[in-house]
Amino acid sequence: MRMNYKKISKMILKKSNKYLKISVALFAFSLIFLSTFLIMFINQYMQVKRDFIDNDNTHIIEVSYEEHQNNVCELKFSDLEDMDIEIKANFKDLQYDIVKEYQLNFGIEDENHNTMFIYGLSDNASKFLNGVELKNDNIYQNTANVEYITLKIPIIFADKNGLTSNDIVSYQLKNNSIDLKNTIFNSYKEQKDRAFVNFETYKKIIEQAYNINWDDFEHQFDIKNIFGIQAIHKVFIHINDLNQVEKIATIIDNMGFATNYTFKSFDNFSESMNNTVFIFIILVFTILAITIIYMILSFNSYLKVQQKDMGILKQYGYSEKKIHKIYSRNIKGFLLYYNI
Amino acid sequence: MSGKIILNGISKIFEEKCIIDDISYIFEQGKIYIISGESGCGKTTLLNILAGYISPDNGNVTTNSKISYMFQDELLFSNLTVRENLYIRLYAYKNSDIDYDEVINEALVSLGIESLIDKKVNLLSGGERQRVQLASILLSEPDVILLDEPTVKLDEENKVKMIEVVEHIFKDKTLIIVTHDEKKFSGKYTKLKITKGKLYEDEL
Repeated sequence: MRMNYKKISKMILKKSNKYLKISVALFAFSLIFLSTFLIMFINQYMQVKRDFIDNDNTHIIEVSYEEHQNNVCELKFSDLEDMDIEIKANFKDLQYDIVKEYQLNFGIEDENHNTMFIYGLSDNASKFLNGVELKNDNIYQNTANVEYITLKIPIIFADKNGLTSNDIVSYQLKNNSIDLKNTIFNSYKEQKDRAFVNFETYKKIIEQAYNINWDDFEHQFDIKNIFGIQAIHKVFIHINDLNQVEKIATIIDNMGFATNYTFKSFDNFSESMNNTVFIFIILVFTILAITIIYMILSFNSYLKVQQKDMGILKQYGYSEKKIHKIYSRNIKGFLLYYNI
Repeated sequence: MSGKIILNGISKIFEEKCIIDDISYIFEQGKIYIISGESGCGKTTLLNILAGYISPDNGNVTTNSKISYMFQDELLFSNLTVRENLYIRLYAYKNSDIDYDEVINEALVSLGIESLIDKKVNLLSGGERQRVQLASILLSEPDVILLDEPTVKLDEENKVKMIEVVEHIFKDKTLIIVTHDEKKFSGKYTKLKITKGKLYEDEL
């Protein structure tokens, strides 16, 4: 067989590139593992973001009654103001909305003898109704079979003997359908007898039913509720910053109100999320560090082996020029092989 | 002068200790020299000076011989076959036009290890690896062969075989051997001893 430096290079490379192959393989495996881990984590995070962080429902604290000396009391209009003041006092730059849901505890018939339970929503509720702005003198239901409906509102007299009603007043409203899916009122979407009106319309219904102006109604309701209704059904406090929800809820709880929110039964969700991200980052850096250290050590061993091999070649009588030729061919070969 | 090495007043100091102290000696062509001495007395240092790997602090070495050196630690590529190791060794001395397989085969036959030609070195026994090293030296066609403890890693039986092989294949060469197994040499040799940096001769 005839010999040349290429064949010699190949023999040397065959011997020594085993180390590099193993190192590169391990590095590639680590990268694949890390990438898979990263993809899984991102996927999990996106899921959590979708289900929790970007989900409006997780930003809401629901308040439905007050607890006073072990008694359950209805919410008053002054309570709404108190909550607002307290939140502003403790969180100066916090972005939030207090959405009020008013109710009539009795059903109202329309001209076709369909009974409906009407709920009034404050003006800032549109963001929780998929952007639908509730208009004056309009009513909103799951399905709107007719264009207009006429409510037969009972005229109610409240006196020391209780409540009486002998007459009705008609109130025509434009009928609309509304999609409550994925809103905070999602649980109502199957209830065909539930309808929504805006605050102005609700006020008109109250004023017509009780023959009283709204301001007097509010005032009297807070002093002594003679109207037979729990006017404020619920309050929804929407907090923009998810991290502040629990803190606000604690303040509202301490004021004596009963709160309900998604993370009430979770152990400090934002802290858990932060811990998870922190652990992930540590894990990624640890795996990367171990891989890099291994690569460096392997390359170091590789260089030592190369050094020993060069020493052997020198001892065999190879000139420095010849050794340089052999190894520069090997380096080019390695770079080409691994497409560096 | 081929095969002859002349030492003229060479000295070597390591860490303020004089290892080789003003040694003058002539190694004649075709003779066997066995160097002994206590551990650390300078035997390997002397071999390194003879091979030209280190320079003496004083004196000079005169020779126009081709010198090959077999170290205690084997200098073989353990993951390659015997054939590949010898290809690499031969390429240092020979041009590309000769038939490498023929030359290598000849060397291995003279050492009785032609059957090992395609075996990987790391699968060979200690004695077999020593023979491969000898084949490697043979290919370089030296005038002088320096052997540093060639039998130290071998059992008694292999020591005898090794010495027989060395005496046979290098019979016309100048052999300078550091060993404690001089009694196993059957041929005529000059016994040298290094004591306190000085070289003394005992002819047998």
